Amino acid sequence: MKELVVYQVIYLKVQTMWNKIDELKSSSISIEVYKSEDSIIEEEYNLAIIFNSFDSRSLEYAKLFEKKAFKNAIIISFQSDKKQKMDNLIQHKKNMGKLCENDPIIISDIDIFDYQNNLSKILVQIPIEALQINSKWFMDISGVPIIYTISLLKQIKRIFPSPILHCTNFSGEYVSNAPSHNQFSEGYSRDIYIPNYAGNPDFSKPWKYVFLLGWEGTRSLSVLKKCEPDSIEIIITKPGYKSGYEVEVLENNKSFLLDCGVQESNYIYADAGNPLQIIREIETIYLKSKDVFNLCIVPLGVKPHGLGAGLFGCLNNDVSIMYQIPKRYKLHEVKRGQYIWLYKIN
Amino acid sequence: MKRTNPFIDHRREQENYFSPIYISQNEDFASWTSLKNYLFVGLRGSGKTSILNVFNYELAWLNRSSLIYHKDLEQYTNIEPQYIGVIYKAERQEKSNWQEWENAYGKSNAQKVYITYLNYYFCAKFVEALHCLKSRFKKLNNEADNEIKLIDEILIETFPFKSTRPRLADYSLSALKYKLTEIHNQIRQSITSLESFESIKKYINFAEGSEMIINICKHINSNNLELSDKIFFALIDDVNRLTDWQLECVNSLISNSQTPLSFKISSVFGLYQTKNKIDGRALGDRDLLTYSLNTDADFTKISKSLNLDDILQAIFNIRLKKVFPDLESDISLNEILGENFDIDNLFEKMTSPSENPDFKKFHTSYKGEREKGYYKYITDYWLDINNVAIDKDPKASKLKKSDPILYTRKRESEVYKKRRQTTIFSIIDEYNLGKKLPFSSFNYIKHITCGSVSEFLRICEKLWPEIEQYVEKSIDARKTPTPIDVLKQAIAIRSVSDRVYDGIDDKGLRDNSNVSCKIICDRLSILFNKFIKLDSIRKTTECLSLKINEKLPSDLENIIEDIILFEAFIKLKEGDTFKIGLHPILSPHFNLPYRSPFYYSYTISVELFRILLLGDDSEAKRVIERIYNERVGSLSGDLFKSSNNVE
Repeated sequence: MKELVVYQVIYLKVQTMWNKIDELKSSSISIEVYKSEDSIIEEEYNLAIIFNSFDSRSLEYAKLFEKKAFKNAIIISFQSDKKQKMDNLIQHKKNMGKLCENDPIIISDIDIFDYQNNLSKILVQIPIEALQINSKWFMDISGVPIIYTISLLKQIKRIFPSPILHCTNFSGEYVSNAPSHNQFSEGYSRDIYIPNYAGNPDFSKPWKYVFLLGWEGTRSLSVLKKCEPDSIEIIITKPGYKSGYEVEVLENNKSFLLDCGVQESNYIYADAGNPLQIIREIETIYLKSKDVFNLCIVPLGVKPHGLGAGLFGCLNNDVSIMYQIPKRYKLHEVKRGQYIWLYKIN
Repeated sequence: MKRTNPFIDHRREQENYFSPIYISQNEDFASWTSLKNYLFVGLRGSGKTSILNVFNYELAWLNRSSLIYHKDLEQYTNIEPQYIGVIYKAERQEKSNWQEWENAYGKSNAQKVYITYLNYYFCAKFVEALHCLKSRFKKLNNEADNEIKLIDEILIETFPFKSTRPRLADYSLSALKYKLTEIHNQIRQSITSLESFESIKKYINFAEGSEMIINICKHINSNNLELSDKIFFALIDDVNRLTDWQLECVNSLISNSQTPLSFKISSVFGLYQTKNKIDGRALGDRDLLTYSLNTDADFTKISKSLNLDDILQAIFNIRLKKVFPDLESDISLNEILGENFDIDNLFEKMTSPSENPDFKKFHTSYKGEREKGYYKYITDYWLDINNVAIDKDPKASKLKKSDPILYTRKRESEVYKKRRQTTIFSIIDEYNLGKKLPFSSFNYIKHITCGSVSEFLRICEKLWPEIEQYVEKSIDARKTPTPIDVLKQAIAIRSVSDRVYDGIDDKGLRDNSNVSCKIICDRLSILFNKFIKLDSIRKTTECLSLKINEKLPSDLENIIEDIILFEAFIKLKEGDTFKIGLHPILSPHFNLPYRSPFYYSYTISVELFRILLLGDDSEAKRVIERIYNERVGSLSGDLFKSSNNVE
């Protein structure tokens, strides 16, 4: 009897603290968006996919669970000579000792830029038992380059039967407003299509590019100059993880905004944590232009916006999503911010 | 009355001046629409894509285009053309994806797949074109039309092995087009997901050359009486977005082409990288005729192109009439901006003698000489007192006192005029006067924008309040407008120049190095700045470009290509050599002379060029010193005394 009472209390706590923000249901996908400041997840998962990152917020997922919640886990760790990253990997392993029934599969020391091979390496490691009907998978996207998150997302949606995917994203607390602190990549880059998102463009048609803008302003201008899209739409993160974020985004993308010829009144603003807003905004653009233009999304903003682009790409195979490969990903310590976002994708 | 600034949108494709009417009236149009293969080169906004669009069947036959205003299309008389063109717009990202695949599976395999990819694309597009034309024009569906036979022939051509030949959902052109597009898309997906050559081999029949496309065009000719005499254009826009090995494929397709197929391709000026074909031999000049849009081979001479005058004049007035519908006659750019500017007089006007005592002394002394009638220009005086000999005539200096009229007339010669432009910058440098030169006038704007309509529109955007005022006065018969103040023009021009500079990528190009595209431009500006110093111009003329006689490694080539796309570099290819210069639009930003950068180049080895571009600051500084030493001679003092950019 005592045990039952405890269970009910926890259940109530979970139910009250995850605040459902938004949902989207269609014949092919169902997405629910939840937000919380401090909550736990009660559900159990057949598989957890965890990326080892430099910042401490990527370790926070462990605090969401109070018992062994994963049957299997894959931890992916990229090559790095930073001690902090090594320490984080040790911590992930410790976490899995507490949270995972089976020993986690570790894919370590892989080159972060070898996207295609790394994705294959991850996919072949997925245990058969995680591929049952109604399997549930967990992935924390807080510290993962968006190229991995959404490439995997599309692969997962291609699996039959497709597992239910729960993704968490911890908002970050940025200690400095200095632009250099908020640049997450640097170096000469190549432009590629994100694996699985090359789209099916008609090469006789002009291109419309949808820029999802974030802090990395120089990237947007570089894409504009190099790709010369025929038409442009701009979506800006708002309100962001801290007040005034959108002002910084505008400031950092000043040269791009001056150059692209889009009137200020046509800027679109979207909630930083809610990928569904991005899906809806892109859908409006897509429906208006699909007979005239090829559509290419350029995710340069926050991770949930990238996720939204990826989800839209899952629903519309003809759309392309591009990525600028940086020379280097910058390693910053990003502490956990105020909110946890939970995205349930089915 | 406050009107919307009509110059805010810098896209020139919006102008009906690039409309089919204008293009089809070009005196070379008949040659362009013949079976000759053409390469159209020009800067961004010079009209390359617009020309290819006119050849595209959607515009030529169906009178539709997504990039041209509906109203402008209505005016285009749709006379049945003799050609059916389909367009392929190369995309930048694809270059990286294909390159990655080539790195993994080799050039020869990549070229086989890419040639096949293009073949299927064009076959699908010609089938689509035929389908659309037959839907629109009833006469194409007559008794002589044998669609079933045509579909059979195309299927055999594109899927030669019966075992792999697809079954069509229905025996229609639309279903056939769908199948061919599917192959094209499948190849693309295989490349972006790095599928192996072996697995691609399983589902495609490799095409060689352009036979597949030619045969399909011939089948269309032979199966439809109404189309029996038509020729077919495979149009490829922006081949500069292709890798060298992809361009070799395109060149091979071109060299293979024969009646009824012809290729029309376009490239950004200076970025058509190779004429080589897959077999290693070069495409002959007659195989591919080059047409430079609004440019000479050296597009920095563009300001002399009357054709450009017409285009800018028309675009300017079209924009104006959007907000001034009552404007009856065109506003002349020569009148509103002034045709030329008198660099000497403006310089004098703008430079306050009081700010530098040495300059003040020099200026007072010049005024005295001018009153005596010896000098008309401050630059001439400065050159003389510094013993900078411009013409080699030893009697010249004696002439000054014996026949001042002849002496000053001599100074009107071209050689002096040209030299004067540089000398202004030398004086600014010598007396440390800062960025004071007020650039203005239509000719100057044409020159520094090098034919880029978008840069011209940017300058107009900045000058909008003045332009608006001028036009208001033009409409009001009681007032006569005066040209826009030179200082206001100068501010607008400099602001556009600064914006081009701000837009250059400043991300590090290599590990553990802060060298970026922007820093490379800074370094070149420092080097070129040394050549306007007195010591330098005493010995030789200014130098604004580097000449490289060897082929560049691909990493350097990619960096240069990026800087060109940022409109910060210009490149001129001459046979196996090429020249690199800073784009004249940056001349106001760097306070550098703006004469054609290609007049006087300095030849540099690839090794030194690499260090100058990608070495650390001290290495780059040593290269600059070395070049200066070799060109000018030993250093007098510290070359970097007044410059702190490199140090």
